[in-house]
Amino acid sequence: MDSEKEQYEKLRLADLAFFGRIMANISHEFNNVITIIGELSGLLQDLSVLAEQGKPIKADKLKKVTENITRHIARGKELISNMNQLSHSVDEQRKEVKLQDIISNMKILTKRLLERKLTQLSWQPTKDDIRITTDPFAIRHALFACLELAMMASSSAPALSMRIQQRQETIDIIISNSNADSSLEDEKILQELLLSVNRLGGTVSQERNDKGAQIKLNIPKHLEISR
Amino acid sequence: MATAKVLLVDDEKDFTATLSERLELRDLEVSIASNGPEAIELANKHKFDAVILDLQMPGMDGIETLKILMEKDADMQVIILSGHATVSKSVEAIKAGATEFLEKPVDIQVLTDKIDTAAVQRFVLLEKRSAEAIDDILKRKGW
Repeated sequence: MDSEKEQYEKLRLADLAFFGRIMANISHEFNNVITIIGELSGLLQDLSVLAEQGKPIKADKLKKVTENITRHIARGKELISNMNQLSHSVDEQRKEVKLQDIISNMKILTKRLLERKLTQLSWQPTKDDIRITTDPFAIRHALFACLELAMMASSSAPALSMRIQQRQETIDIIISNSNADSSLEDEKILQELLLSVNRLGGTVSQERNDKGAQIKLNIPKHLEISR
Repeated sequence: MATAKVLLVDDEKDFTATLSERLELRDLEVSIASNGPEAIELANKHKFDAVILDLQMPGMDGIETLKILMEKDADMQVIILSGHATVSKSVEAIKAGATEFLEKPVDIQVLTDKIDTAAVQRFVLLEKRSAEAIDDILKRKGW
């Protein structure tokens, strides 16, 4: 059995690794946004040079390029806003949050990571707001570990879906992979997940059947003490 | 030399669309692939003077794509254009046969200079191969 100090050190390293992976992914994505805006502004310069040489810029071309710039600025803004949400999730260890916002935040932050593994993630948002009092950082970390585990159960093109089930005192977050061909067994990620779930005062279970693989995260709606 | 033919490989569609338009304004002929398998298929069908290749792509990544392209044509001139220009990635790419490693965003003049150099290099290599093939035939015939 690990001592409390060892557990704390493992958790700290796992948290840092999670944060680092997300930041590396987002910085790459953000660099793509800057690069595209740079190319679009370069194209406007090219067209301006041609206009000076007597080849006028067509209005619809100008409109299309500027619309694209606006779209990618919005994409960059969305990335920054979501990165900011993750960064501030460490501010309080216990806070009332809207579960849908947390899931949406993680969906945006992991989009490129999932795409690189050709992963489809479907998520049917619930009609009603689900408000829970939890550790905002630990729940993100746990969701990320669940997504990674579920993804690793496929040798190609994971097909993930996420849904929420409300119980009296707890919430189930269920992540399924309908294209799984192996178990959810990565020891390092499992350990990371257990550490996060422990902070949330919850439990995690997994199931493998002929329809695929499934991870169920059960967490209290109201985290009682600050951990 | 004739217009250089370039294959641009990147999964960011707005990036490839805009960069290809800018390269075409500079009299280059550009084909686009949005992933590794598409790039390999195009390279099998057409001859390119230079390939501009991203490293992080869904499914088959840039290094894997590069290795397959080089296996099929050892004279292929591949310029890596990546958002992640780490030393280890650069070394890996150069070892796998890339001729240049550039970081995004790239200055268009720098990129077109590298494409020109790659096209000349490929031309020289192909000329050398032709000369070697002719020499070989002549030797075999005893001339």
